[in-house]
Amino acid sequence: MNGIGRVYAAINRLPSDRFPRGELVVDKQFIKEFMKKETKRDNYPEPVEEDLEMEIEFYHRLGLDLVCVHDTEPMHHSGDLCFKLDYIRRFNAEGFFVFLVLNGVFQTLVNQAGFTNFMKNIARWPQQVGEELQKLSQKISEHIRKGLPDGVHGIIIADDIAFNRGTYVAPEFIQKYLLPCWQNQVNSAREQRIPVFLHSDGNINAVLPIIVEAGFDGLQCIEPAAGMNFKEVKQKYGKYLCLMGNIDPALLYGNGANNSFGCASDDPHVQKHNFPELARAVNELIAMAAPDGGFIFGTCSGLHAGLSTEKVKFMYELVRNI
Amino acid sequence: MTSLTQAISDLNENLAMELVKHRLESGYKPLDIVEECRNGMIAVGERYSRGEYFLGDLVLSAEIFHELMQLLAPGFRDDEVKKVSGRIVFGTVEGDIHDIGKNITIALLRCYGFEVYDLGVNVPSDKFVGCLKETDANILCLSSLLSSCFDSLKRTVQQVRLFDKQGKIKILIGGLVNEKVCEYTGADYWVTDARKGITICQQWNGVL
Repeated sequence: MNGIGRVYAAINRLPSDRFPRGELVVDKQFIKEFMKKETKRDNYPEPVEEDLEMEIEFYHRLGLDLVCVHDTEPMHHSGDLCFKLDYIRRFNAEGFFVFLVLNGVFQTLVNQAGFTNFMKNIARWPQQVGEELQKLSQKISEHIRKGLPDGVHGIIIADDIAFNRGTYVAPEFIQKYLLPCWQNQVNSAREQRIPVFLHSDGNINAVLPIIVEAGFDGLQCIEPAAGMNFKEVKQKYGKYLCLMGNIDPALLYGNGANNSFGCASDDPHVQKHNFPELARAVNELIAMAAPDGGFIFGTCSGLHAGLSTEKVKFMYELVRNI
Repeated sequence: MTSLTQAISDLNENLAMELVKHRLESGYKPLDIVEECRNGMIAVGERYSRGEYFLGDLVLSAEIFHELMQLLAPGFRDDEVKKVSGRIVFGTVEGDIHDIGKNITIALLRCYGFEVYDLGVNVPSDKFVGCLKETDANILCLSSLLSSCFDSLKRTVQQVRLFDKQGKIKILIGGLVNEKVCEYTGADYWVTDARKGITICQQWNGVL
């Protein structure tokens, strides 16, 4: 079974040889740092964005099953989706499940108006903002209906609607204005038989029922640092949503090699993070998540430059051996 | 709670504006009106803490407060203006584009009556220095969520210290930072929580 089969099995709660693994984002600079250490090769070309072979080798070395391909020119700039088609074809040929990551309507308007203005507009003129969201959503749905590039297996709608304390806006706003947008997008993808996940950082506990109602097939992130309890989410919503993520990137900060500050957090819990603690977190997550399927292992927010390449390697070797 | 404080607490922008205009016409002292406004903002902050309000409401309250201050400004003497609001220059340092934590903290600072100059994200050190010179602000808040930007934080702090030879400017760093980062950069204090940041700024400005 390859990555494509494993991810489909996880989404559909079907038997599989193992649970799949994947990251929402893998920063090109991180890939380069990792591969330089792994291969002792120091002549990767610049810019790193251009080295598809290095990227593919990286994904194989970590044992990842999926690749997330991001819009290279988010639609608020050009009005069109823009993806590297050769990358998609190649990832597909290598047996990776390919997710297209699209900015959601909330995220897009935040980018367009600026965070502060957008928040203010919602508080002042919720209905007008709702109408804007709807218009934008129709555009996204049309893109999905028109057909996605060959080799794409799924979509992740990236809509950051929350931070550590909860949602940026009242759940009532999300129910009234965002839910119809999400439903529209999900329905468009369903017509193409494409599964759709939602990504949001932050504490989204209050709106999980809305996310389920929207019809999403999965949820990416489930951020423990924001108070998201994987076990509870799995118990309540695991039969509706395939859960992807949950490893706190703070566990992957360097211990001297990459970061002379030990870690970049004041949280004593985070400061103590070392390999045994990372192993414990990984084992706990898998024990909770893997048995009934509907789970894709990964971090909440992806692998970025500054994370310890040793810890990331350790984590994925550990997962491989479970 | 006065009617004006209540109107602000309820985010009733039009009513708050009317009440301020009426108070000015009736001869109230501007500083007394400001105190009512400030109490309204504190009430908004409390409603936010209770989960009754969301971030958008907080941002709107800051906007209302700003508008009310503009109505009141002609009635202030210069020294009164300084009493009303501490001035803060705020931005995410060069190399980092994270702004959510910065924006939340700025919204809260404005709620508590600070005048905040938001320089945005990926801000070079000389721009911070330029803004501090222009605004005469005595607090600089620097945000960063990337360990790769610690040197950028340090560079900014060093440049500000060079310009601020009398040591009048206090520097607060926030984001994914800790004591070690604070020592490394030479900042005066570090926080990872917006509310704590407000308290520190209030202490520095003698509000608490």
